[in-house]
Amino acid sequence: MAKLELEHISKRFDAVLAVDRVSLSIQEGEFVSLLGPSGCGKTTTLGLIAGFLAPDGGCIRIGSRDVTAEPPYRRNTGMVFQNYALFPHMTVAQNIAFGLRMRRVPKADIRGKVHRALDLVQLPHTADRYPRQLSGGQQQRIALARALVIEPAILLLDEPLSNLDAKLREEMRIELREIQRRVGITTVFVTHDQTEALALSDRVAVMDHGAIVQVGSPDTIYERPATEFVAGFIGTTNRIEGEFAGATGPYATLKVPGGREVRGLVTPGTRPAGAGLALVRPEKIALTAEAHPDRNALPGTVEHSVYLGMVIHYVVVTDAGRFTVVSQNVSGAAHAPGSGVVLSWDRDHTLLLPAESRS
Amino acid sequence: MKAREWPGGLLLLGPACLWLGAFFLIPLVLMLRLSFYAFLPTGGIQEALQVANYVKVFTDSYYLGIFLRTIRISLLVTLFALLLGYPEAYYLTGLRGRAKALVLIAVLSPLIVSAVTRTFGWFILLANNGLVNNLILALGLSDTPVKLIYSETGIVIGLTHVLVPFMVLSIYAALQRRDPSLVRAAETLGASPVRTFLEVTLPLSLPGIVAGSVLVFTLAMSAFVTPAILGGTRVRVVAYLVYEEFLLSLNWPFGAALALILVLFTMTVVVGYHRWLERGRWGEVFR
Repeated sequence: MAKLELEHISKRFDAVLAVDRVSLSIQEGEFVSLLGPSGCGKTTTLGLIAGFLAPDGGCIRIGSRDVTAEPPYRRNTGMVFQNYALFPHMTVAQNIAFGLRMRRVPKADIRGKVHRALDLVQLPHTADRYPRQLSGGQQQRIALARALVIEPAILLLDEPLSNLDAKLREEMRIELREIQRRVGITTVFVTHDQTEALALSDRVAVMDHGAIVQVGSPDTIYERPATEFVAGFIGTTNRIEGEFAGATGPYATLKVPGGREVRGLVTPGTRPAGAGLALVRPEKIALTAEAHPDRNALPGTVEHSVYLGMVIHYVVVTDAGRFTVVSQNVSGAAHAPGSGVVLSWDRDHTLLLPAESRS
Repeated sequence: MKAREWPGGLLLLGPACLWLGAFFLIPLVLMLRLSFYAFLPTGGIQEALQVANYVKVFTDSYYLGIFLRTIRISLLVTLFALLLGYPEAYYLTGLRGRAKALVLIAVLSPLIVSAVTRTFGWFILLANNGLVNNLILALGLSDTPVKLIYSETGIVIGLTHVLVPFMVLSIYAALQRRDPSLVRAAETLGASPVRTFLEVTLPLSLPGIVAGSVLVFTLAMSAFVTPAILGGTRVRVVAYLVYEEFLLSLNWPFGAALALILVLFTMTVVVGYHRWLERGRWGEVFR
């Protein structure tokens, strides 16, 4: 267990800058996700940490050791791969023992460690089976046991849940987090699945075009996205275009089409002037009969609704654009299409940013 | 739809079955019958049912010696083809595009040249005053020319040359199928490149090694042109012996017996080799 530091690491493939001066510091025992769409550089970053790729610039430190020039087999990382990557010609026990053998752990100790690793992933009875005799979920757990048994400094997870079916993925997610907490190992988790990243991580690093766009706790990333890209990639968001019209303290006002004003928090580091955007999550908006003076309000017409039981999805048309609204099903009946409503939401749930900051 | 569920699938196999039946299976049965006939001193063949031909092969040290030589040559050729072919196949998996096409053509080049041309090429190279011997003499590695033609050495060299492509392609196919993340997994677990190769890549390429060595061994056992030119009557192999019995001595029954023993022996070795490997430590690789 150790901390992991990436300092301005870059990687270029021919004309493409796959990783662009990424810096990230991960504390001991912390679980950090690299989240982003495919091609954003998250897998390349993981490859650089593991040592499969050499960075073109920058520095990687595990604990206090600079490992930038070290080959993967001297970095002391444990890795779990998307396709499990269990050795098909070895039994489960041999797979788990592999890393211990490479480290010349005495035979007698290997047996005990393999045993405990199998207990950790709750598959003690599978020791003598071959990988092909196990289900996908079981293989993934063995892969995790194999990575953890060597007591690596860092655990690297490369989309380990994406090959599992939905129900199993959710179970494994809980189990993975549980095991990670118990072992207390510093973990880097690569995923394109925002739900996984939010559910598992202490912090999420959102990547786009090879760079980290924002790093923060799951709620920060969701509630206070730094850019329109982050807001759009994690969850869904409504965006309203307008012109800034004054600011006071952390708040600013955006004049939106239809002549109304929307007040909200100015995104830190941006200047509330010129063309701007307001971002608001669908579940923060309430459908009310009339406007409330302290809240943002826009009158609109229900275009259609989708009744989902627990929640109801609406599409509401206003002068400022089309809105998606997710309402708790409190009343038991949906607003009918065509009915007039007022969209109302808290200014603290509104993020304002200049229009050119979109990435 | 699977071919198995479609009765018409048999129709597709029909032409091949007819061909093999007419020109392979029936002659094989005729050969089997022929091998029990007797050869008369007068030059005729007598229809009989006797095992004298087989007894002669297994009791006459001359014939046993030729069988042993053929096996020895084939094993050596298989070994050398493996030693030369594996690195070649491994190198090939790292190539892309034009470079790969060029190396593949180079690998296949021995098969593109006709057997007679290729073997006479080796004859010229390996002769007592040939390029190889001149080089050996010039470098002072030997005072007299090394006996390369009309020797087992020459046959092994010639056969290895033509059979290496079969080994390369078999191993290449197996290496292409491997999952690159297995190598990465081994590396993160602390295995050096050499250990990774020995523990992961090599065992997983075993099916290719097996397929390649079976091909090379069977082809070497039955090779005719190369041993005939580079060994001739001075270093006979079984295939050459069969040719002599059929076309020179006209002792067809004995030739048939020799040929059948060669086929049966080769088949037994191949099947036994497979069984042994599948039951062994690396059996899981073959599933």
